[in-house]
Amino acid sequence: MVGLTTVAAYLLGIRMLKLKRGRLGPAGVEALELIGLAIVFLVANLAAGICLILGARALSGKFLSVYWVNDSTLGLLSILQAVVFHCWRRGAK
Amino acid sequence: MRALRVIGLFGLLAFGIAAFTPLANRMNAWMAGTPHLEPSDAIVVLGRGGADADGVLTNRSLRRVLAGISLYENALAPVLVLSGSTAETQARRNLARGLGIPDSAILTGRPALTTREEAAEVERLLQPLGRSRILLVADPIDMPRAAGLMQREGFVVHPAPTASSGPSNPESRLGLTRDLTIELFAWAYHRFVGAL
Repeated sequence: MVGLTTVAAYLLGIRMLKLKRGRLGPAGVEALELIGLAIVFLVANLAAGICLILGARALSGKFLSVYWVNDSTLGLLSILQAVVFHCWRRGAK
Repeated sequence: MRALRVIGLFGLLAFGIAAFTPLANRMNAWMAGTPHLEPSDAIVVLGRGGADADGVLTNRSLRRVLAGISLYENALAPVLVLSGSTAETQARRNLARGLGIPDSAILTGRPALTTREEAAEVERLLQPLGRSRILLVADPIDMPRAAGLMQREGFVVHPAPTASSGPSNPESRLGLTRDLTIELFAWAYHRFVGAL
């Protein structure tokens, strides 16, 4: 499925959008940077969440579960953060 | 930027391995260990995820309590201990009663929100009754930590993990990998603070 749409996107890019083949490699490298940035944001979000929960636990004396940070929306929001930050950084170049 | 590329490549590889290889399933089965379904003094079903506002149990909580009920029906122990939050134990008790377990055979303690609290609460419930050999029902990945905590409370633990073959589609394998990662961190934390 993904292979088919990848080939279709490649053909679309080459034939209709007149994209250069030589730019595909650097685009892949840039995608890796974007993925790396998303992972950095995810780790930072997880670390911040766990610190906040443990801090609130210590201050309030009430039980707060660290499982609260175990939510897939955190991953999606981290990707969003990475995309915005990446576009911002690229625009500044 | 080179560091970001390396992290990105690592993340992509980790995603591929987690989603499209049986590594998570193998880890799941490995952590479950070998079930020892032997006659015991009690069946202990640990909490997992609680119940929602409508009293509906999470998938894992439901699977655990059904496994516990099945062990009881096979006459492997005369007592079924249901642990967890108030809402979870209540929903589980209702389910167990509805499936024919006599109320007198069901034990529930005070609400316990962590596995460590659950172990202490189960100890408080069972040790005065002289019941020290338990069939422990937990998810495969939770079994090493849960069994360790129960052993520290003085129980002889017979592991009875829920199904351990694990999921067969990429999305569920990713979920299992996430849970495995969390559990390994939890295990390391418990070792670090000397609770295991």
